[in-house]
Amino acid sequence: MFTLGAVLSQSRLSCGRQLVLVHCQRCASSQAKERRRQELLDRIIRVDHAGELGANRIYQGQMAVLGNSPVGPVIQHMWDQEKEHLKKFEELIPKHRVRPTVMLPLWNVAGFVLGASTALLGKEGAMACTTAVETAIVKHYNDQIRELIEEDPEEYKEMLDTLKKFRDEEQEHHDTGIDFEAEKAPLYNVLYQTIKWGCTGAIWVSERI
Amino acid sequence: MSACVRRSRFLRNNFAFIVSVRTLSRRGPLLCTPGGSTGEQSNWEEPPSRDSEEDYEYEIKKRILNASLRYVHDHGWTITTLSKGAESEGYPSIAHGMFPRGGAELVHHLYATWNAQLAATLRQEVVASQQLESERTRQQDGAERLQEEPADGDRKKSTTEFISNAVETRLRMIIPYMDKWPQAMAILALPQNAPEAMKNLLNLTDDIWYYAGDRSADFNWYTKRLALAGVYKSTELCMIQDKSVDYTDTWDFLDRRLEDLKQAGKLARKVTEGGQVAGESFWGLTQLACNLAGMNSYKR
Repeated sequence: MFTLGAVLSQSRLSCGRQLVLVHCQRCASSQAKERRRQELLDRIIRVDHAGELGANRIYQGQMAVLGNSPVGPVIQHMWDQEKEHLKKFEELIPKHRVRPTVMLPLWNVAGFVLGASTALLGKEGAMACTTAVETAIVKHYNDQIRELIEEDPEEYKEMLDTLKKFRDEEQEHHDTGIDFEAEKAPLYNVLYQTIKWGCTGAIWVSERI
Repeated sequence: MSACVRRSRFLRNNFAFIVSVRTLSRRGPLLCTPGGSTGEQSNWEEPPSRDSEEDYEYEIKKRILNASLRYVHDHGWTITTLSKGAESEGYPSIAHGMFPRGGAELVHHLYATWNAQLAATLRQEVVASQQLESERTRQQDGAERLQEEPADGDRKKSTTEFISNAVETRLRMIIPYMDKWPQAMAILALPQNAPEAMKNLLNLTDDIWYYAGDRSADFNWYTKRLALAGVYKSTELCMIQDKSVDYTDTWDFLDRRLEDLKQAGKLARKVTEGGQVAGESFWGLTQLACNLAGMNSYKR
């Protein structure tokens, strides 16, 4: 989207011809660099917002089935952390003028259905789903952190701190899933691979549209 | 004529070729290194970075496009206009080759320039109204609350008013080119130009909604912008055939469309609330039926 920091200025050359330049408010960074920066942030925040929304709905689905079971408080704790993540990205979207993904209504429904259906397989099924989703999410957070560090670690420091914190919390969720016997779920390998590749596909789509 | 003047005229007249040669020889240093063995400093010694080259070409393109605008009334949105613009800036007329889409690039450029001007105006308006609000809050904190209403000019604008003013400001920018704007709209409707036209339109509506205070991060982001895009487009169509004084018919049309939008929003909210109420009533009736049928009774 059009950069927020651009200001139109007009100046007259000595020969009287009018020249219209677009300056970046921040510094003398070039048009091309500004455009690339905006595209990068746009893509990263869009896909992270979609991911956190999906994770929220998955935990909501799991709570709907397993809310009253002994594992309910554990899922509730993980869900509360995901709510914090979602809130953060919902602040970043207007701040950086990012377009949210057009697939939001689909991820809304699909997340809930995934969470509820795996929870119906029992506590182990829910944990297997959590493990698979968190594996995909940790990998994609790591990819983004690497990309931002390669681009300019100083400029993206705030974003990097946020992503690192969230990545560590998602890793915790993954480890919780393993601790609560995710691997004992029926057809664990099939379930794990399907959900992981499904998430990777969803991430690929949300980055683009 | 001195050698310096001849050289600079040569460079200006053959600018496009030099730029294309530099673009082709990205791999290593430039073909010409006039510094030579004496090691004197020359602007041509370092190969240009990708960013600086892109920016350099971008600045040249902008100059040609802006210079071409004054020829639009005579030649329309065509390659002839671009050639004349290039010549007036001292470039060869074949510099129109920098614009593969021809006249459409001129339309896109003008559209984007107007969008940027609108964004700057809206930002200033928002900053000014925020300063006014904080000033008023500071005054009222210290002194007694005044009984009379604030003057009409100081009252905070409603969202609809803000959007109406923004769309009117943006449409008024078209007036100087009104004689050729229908052709421009037709060019933008062609399939090869439609994606960029759509992108410019959505950027415009995004700016208007953002400065009107919208901070939504869900699907409403799309519904609001697409709805406003529809309003803007239909008002633009109304404007190109409006014969009234100062386009008053167009502004009335705009107000009616924004009113429709507001009513549609209210209707959507009512339907959602109504749906929730209907759902709860249905659940209540189901429970009643179960109770009457004795399904919830302990004695069964």
